[in-house]
Amino acid sequence: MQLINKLGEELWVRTIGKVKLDSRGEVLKAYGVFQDITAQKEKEIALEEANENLHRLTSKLTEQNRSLNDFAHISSHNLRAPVANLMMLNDLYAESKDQKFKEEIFEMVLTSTNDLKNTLDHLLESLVIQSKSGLDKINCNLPKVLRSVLTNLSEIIKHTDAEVEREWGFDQIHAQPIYLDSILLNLIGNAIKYKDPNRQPIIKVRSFMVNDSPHVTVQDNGLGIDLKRHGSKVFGLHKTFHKNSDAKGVGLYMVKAQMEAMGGSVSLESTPGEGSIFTLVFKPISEA
Amino acid sequence: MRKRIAYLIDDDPIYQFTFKAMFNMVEEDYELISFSDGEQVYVHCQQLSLENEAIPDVIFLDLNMPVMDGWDFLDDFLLLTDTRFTDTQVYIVSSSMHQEDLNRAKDYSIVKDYLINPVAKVDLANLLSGHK
Repeated sequence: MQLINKLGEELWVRTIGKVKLDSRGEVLKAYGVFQDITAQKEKEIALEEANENLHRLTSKLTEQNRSLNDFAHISSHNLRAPVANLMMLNDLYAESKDQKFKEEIFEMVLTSTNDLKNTLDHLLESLVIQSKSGLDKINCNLPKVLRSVLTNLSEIIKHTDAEVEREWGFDQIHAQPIYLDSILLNLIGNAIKYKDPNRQPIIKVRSFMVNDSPHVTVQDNGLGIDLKRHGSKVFGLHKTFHKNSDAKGVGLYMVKAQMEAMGGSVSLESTPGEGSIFTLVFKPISEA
Repeated sequence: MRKRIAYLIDDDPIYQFTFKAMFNMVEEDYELISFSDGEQVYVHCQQLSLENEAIPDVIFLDLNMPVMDGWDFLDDFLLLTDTRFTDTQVYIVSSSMHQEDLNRAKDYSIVKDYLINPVAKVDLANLLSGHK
């Protein structure tokens, strides 16, 4: 228990005592000792704090380790694939005699070279994002950011007759403006790109608070993703889940990298045939 | 004798083109059919099984693919009940040299070998001549 002594100091004490009762069971007197255990208790509290810090550090390191491992895995496949293609094409070119076939091969060399450049650019971009954690966050006006995103998408929105509904629980958000713009562009762009061909795409953007964490959700009525099958790799680089020639599989990887760089996170719920909800959780206001 | 059948499962059209060109250079007894994802092949194999049609003798399988990736395909392929498929030789052809992928491939007994791209012509020739 905690006591305050006459000097006004808070002390932690351990109490050992006995009570003497009278015949009716009422307390007659109590006697015992208070042992000052403040030093011990303070050490205990410090140890607990150190432990907690250690836990936080470990999970941060684990997370970083995992993303490094992801990165190694990704570059192992995504960079080597176009290089391997180029090497095989070079061999074919050297061996082939037919001029027309040679021209065909050359076309593919050009495509592969381009793929290689794009993959390199994306990997470098994501490295830059990872190294810029927590930089230059300002107060952004969410409805305004969304308006600019929708202007960027106006062509495809018109083309698909998509409807974007919004529901603001708050307007202002502390975020890196370029990331915020890119995240919304990716999520809403995806929602339209993977629409269900049999119904009008309806996208709902909401902002709301959970405790003091700002949440933003983007919900669609599109194709959805089978999370049982793809759950662990939805946010991986170059993972595409639909037969869409346009799908480069970069968008969601960037969304995740950008949210994490701002100290937040992103998660996904989805039902194939019904649609998806992406939830962006930003850093609690008290920590922002 | 009928031509032996080989499948290539890879979503990259350039790889399909180069692999096929190389394959045809080293091998004349096989017919190579290309597919872009595992799900297509799985459905196709079920069909072959029902109709008692000729099944592939060899499958070359990429790992990183949309819809159903190489691992998902292996898991489903193992569930095919037609016992003829136990004779199909599966080779992984991947650009990934990542240890995690190499180890994971070892867990599948149906995977005969793991070929890392670019696949050398001579290796492909040796591998195919071993199956006759």
